[in-house]
Amino acid sequence: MATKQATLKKLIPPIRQWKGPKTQRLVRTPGEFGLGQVPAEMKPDATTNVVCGFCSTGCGLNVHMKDGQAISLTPTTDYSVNMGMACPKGWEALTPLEADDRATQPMIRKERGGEPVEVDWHEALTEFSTRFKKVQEDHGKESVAFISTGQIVTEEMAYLGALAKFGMGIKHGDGNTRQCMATSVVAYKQSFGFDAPPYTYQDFEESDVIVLVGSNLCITHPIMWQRVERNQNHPEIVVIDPRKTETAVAATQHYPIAPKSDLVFFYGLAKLLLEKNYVDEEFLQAHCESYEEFYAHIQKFTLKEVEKCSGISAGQMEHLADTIGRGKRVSFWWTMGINQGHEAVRTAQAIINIALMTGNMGRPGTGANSITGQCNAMGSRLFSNTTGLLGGRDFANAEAREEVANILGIDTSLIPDAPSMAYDQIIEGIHEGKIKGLWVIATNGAHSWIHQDRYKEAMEKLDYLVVQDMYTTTETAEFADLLLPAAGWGEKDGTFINSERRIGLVKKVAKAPGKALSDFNIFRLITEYWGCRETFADWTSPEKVFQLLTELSKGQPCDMSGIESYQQIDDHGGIQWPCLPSDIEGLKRDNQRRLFADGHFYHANQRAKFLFADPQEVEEPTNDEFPMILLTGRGSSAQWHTQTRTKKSAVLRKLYPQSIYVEIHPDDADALGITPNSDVIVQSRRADVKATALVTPTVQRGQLFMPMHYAKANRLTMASFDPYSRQPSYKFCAVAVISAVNMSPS
Amino acid sequence: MSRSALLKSKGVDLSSSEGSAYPLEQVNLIDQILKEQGQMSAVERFSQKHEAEQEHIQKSYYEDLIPIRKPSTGEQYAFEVELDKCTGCKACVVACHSLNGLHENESWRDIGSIRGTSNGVSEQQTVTSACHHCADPACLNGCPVGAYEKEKDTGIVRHLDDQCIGCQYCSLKCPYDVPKYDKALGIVRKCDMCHERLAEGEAPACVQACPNGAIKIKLTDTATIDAAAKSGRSILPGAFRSDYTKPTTTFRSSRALTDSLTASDERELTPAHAHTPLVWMLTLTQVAVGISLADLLGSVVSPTWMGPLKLTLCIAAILIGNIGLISSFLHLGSPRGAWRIFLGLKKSWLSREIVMFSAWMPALMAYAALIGLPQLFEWLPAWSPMAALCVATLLGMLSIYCSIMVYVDTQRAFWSMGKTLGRFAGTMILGGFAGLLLTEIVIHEVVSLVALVGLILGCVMKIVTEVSLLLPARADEWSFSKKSALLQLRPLGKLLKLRWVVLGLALVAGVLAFYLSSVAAVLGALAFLAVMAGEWMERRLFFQAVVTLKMPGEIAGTTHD
Repeated sequence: MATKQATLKKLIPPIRQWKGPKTQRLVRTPGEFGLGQVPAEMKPDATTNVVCGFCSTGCGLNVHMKDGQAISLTPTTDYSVNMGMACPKGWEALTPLEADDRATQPMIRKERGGEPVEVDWHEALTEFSTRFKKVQEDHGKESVAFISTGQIVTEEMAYLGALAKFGMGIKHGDGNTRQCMATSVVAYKQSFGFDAPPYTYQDFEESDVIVLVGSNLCITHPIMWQRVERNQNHPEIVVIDPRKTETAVAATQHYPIAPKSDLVFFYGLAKLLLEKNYVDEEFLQAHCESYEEFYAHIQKFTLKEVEKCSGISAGQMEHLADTIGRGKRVSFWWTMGINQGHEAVRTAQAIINIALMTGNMGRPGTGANSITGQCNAMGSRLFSNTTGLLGGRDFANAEAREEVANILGIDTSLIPDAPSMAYDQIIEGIHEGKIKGLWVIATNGAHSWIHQDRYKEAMEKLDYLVVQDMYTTTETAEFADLLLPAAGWGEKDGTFINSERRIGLVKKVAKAPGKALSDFNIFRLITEYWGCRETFADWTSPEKVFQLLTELSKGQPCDMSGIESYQQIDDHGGIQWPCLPSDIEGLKRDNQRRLFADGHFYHANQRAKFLFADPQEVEEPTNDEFPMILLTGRGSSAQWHTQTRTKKSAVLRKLYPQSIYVEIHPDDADALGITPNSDVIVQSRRADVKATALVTPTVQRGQLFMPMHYAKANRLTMASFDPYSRQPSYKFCAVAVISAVNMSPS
Repeated sequence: MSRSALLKSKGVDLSSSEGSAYPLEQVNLIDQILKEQGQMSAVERFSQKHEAEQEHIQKSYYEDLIPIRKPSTGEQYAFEVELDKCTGCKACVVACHSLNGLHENESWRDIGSIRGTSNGVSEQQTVTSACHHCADPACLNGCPVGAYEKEKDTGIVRHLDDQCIGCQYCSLKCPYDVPKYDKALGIVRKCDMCHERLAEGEAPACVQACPNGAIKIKLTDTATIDAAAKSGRSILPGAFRSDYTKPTTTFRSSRALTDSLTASDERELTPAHAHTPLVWMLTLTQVAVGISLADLLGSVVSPTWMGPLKLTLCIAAILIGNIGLISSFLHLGSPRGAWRIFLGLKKSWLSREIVMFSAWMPALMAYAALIGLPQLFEWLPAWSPMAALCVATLLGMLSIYCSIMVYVDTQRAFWSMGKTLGRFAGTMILGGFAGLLLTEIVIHEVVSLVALVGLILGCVMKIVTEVSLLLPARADEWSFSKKSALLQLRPLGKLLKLRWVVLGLALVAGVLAFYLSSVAAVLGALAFLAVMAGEWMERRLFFQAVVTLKMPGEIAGTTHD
């Protein structure tokens, strides 16, 4: 009877079908490993923490493994950086690895503009060394240069820098970090005596006043904003930014200064703080120098002058000065709004000066803190061997060269006695015919470099261009004579150093596709094919190189000689530099360490220097023909730089506009006959770019904002540079905008 | 490739010591390094944390964000979003995708923004939203097969994935654009508030993943929901009025987010989905019913004139009608469960439409049998065929009424009763009389005044309706009616122009056919085909120019690279 009923049940479908194959697809099941429920098909058999490879926040991602391979990930709950959270890029970090356009085999392009053909590694590497050697023979060793990145692990960066300079005799190499962090590097070096961001993320939680300058933290570093949100002190959150960004909306005070009025603004603010007697005399006398000269310098920056330049009224300035002056733990944070300016170093130092004069340094919740961009910009700053010699040293210092040569066991004569040319000088060097061969690693200058058309022209002028990348389709790879297929984040081992100086571990959790190799392995092969095996006999694995790096850091402010192994980094959830052997014991109690608690800076006299200069006019002011200011920057948290990775995830693509748009104030739009979401053409002296108008009062009148993730944005930008840091000024150029509605055939 | 083969292919002479600058060991090294690259060691090398952990270790972050008890009678779970904490990171969208194992670009959360000036202050606000688990869910009410269930004890609106036939009507019904069609599966899927997680005291994916704790699950009761849904209110500026479905999500903000703020994508002119099978279905079924109607009206005026036309007309109606019905079937992603369409009769106009059409076609065929094979039905009274035609026409017109209601019931301005009636009834009349006109030419070789007047009437009805939908383009005030008009005039401008040209052509050909009997056949055929083509285009505009009701979105910017 029962079976009969069962058969009947099988034959007659139920009226309501609660179960079935489609329902089954979404069933969740306990994932174990402390994960809570996971999709039943995605249950892992192991998990391991890997530091994220997008931005400098350096979040821990708990990779879910099955049969030794990554299948999914969730943010790591007990990683001190991100505490169980991640931004969309982090959540989707594994997806770009599976993209269709991954480079899986070396490729040679026989003629410019032609289709590249796949070759094997032997042929590729033979070609690499013969062609570059030929260029060097014909035009001198200096005629080959390289452009590195902030996106590969420190061990690879160091290998690249060492191989290029000590092995291949290349003199000039720079990184895309020039575009994001060079200003902070120089500012810190000059002010503190070493490139040393002093903070730990815990400071976001401990301040009572948080001052964010040129930083849209909510979008650029959402997980750092999480730390601001966790602050229990009801902090005043001050945002100084021309745009009313998401962060400005969330802040308690917003000062929408005119673009590039920042130097005047901060000098005026310093003068006001001084007048209101918000100065920590004791700290200044004990730990600083040349502040009196600074006081003299700022006298001319009256409130009237500030208002004229920045548009911020005297009353607002007073309020800001009181907020900072009365704050007990005031922290100052800046990002690209400062770094990417024509007088960026002095502006960053103007912020540092304010932190110093108000005694907001070395204590929890304080500091003059630069927030880094790329996942390993900080690694690059110490070990890329481009502007500085390995370990934060100077090429010009003979003693330092000797030290490095000894540690590496190489001939001192192999080490150049001068730093490389900066990125812009290398590009100009190509135009001038000085640079004939270029090796580009994990960066996409044909998209990201300022005044893009000129960059592309330079690529065409090269005798030989090698691009080493994960993808065959980057704007720069399109120009390559030789494309070397690289493994990506998650497909190799190594370490990143994040914004708060935390060394975190990256692990190989996925197989690289085809014959793609980690950059480290590519460098090993080049070492062999170039014929400098002896120089790099010890450079056999990332972890061995890491140990070389800790050796190189000994005695430097970035001393990390206390770290013995990758395992140790993994066990502690990342370790901040400095980390001497004596520091290890304390890490278990407190893994949030900041600098300058003792007020000792890295200059020989242990004092911090006040540095300042007269404000300079921008190189391309607006005029009648180009009456508007173009600002560029991050568009959304789901986009990363030139989008080579983030556009490979379908779910990330949902989270940002698919094509270029420009933000414009409603009054400007009205005056120009531009309706919301219609087409406009943005014109600069360099190019015309069509975009969709996003009419929004969050940009000011006379200003436009364009996200940098769309390749055309940098066709408009104007190549001007900070004189000290050579960082491009992406935050100001003169443009005009017109409606494109009547121009398009409809 | 083996090492020696590789070397050979490179022309390396293995026997010669100076034959190549690249000795064997380099190629050995390549092999070795490629092998190393493929070795996976992360699991063995690094210690396993939380290996034995059963409890969810994220718990401390979310335990304050979910209720400590289950809903009691009169209560349900609801999302609450703290907008001050929603700062645009969008992690919730990706976490939903990832933690629920959804398809490539699928997520049950969406992000948009509203912006503008509110009380003199420039504002922008990111908005995260998922299903609002409405108290009176429009998706559930519209579903023809009962593929939705509002859970009694939790209030979660569940979708029965194996019950769904993929008709996508719920997507049209939901004013928040929540149920999303998955082409690969042939069904829609939507947020289930991670009901399995909630049942175990775990937070839903989005709640777990928000770095700022902006999304909460709370308990809400009927009175609160009703109060929030009082007429004129909506859950957020830019969202549809709440009295339609009684959504349960609450958005909180310390700032004044007034109605002067608008969705970032509000002015975006992106045409909606064309729903081509439905375009066919809605054109052809209406023309078929129209043919019966013309038959009926003609018979009232002049039975003798109509006599020889009837069978042809009826067969034409059956053919055209069936193509229409089959086309609607093709529209279903998972047609196997379509036998359940009666389950929604109580509330769903789609269910009613399908049932009515299912009655109409047999009635029409019965009528065909009566007039086609009269010898079989001699035992029936003489008025039977006329009665059958009346029944078939009535059922057909009721079906069209259901068709109209299917769209009216979605609450979209562009699909209001007046406009949809004008469109659909217009198609019926225009198509029906164009059919009559052509049939008359084929059989009688002349056109009757009835056919011509019907054709002209149909045209007038269409022109009046459609022009009235274009006029808002000139309005000063922004509205969805204006947006629909602009959609037709701008991105759909070509289709719109063609539609008018074709309609004009149909009218001219029809009138000329009346006067020029020598070329009437060509003109009649032209008129009929032009009517069909024109109506097909009109129906495409009907679908593409509607404004999708949804939560605020972001600009799409789909026109440039």
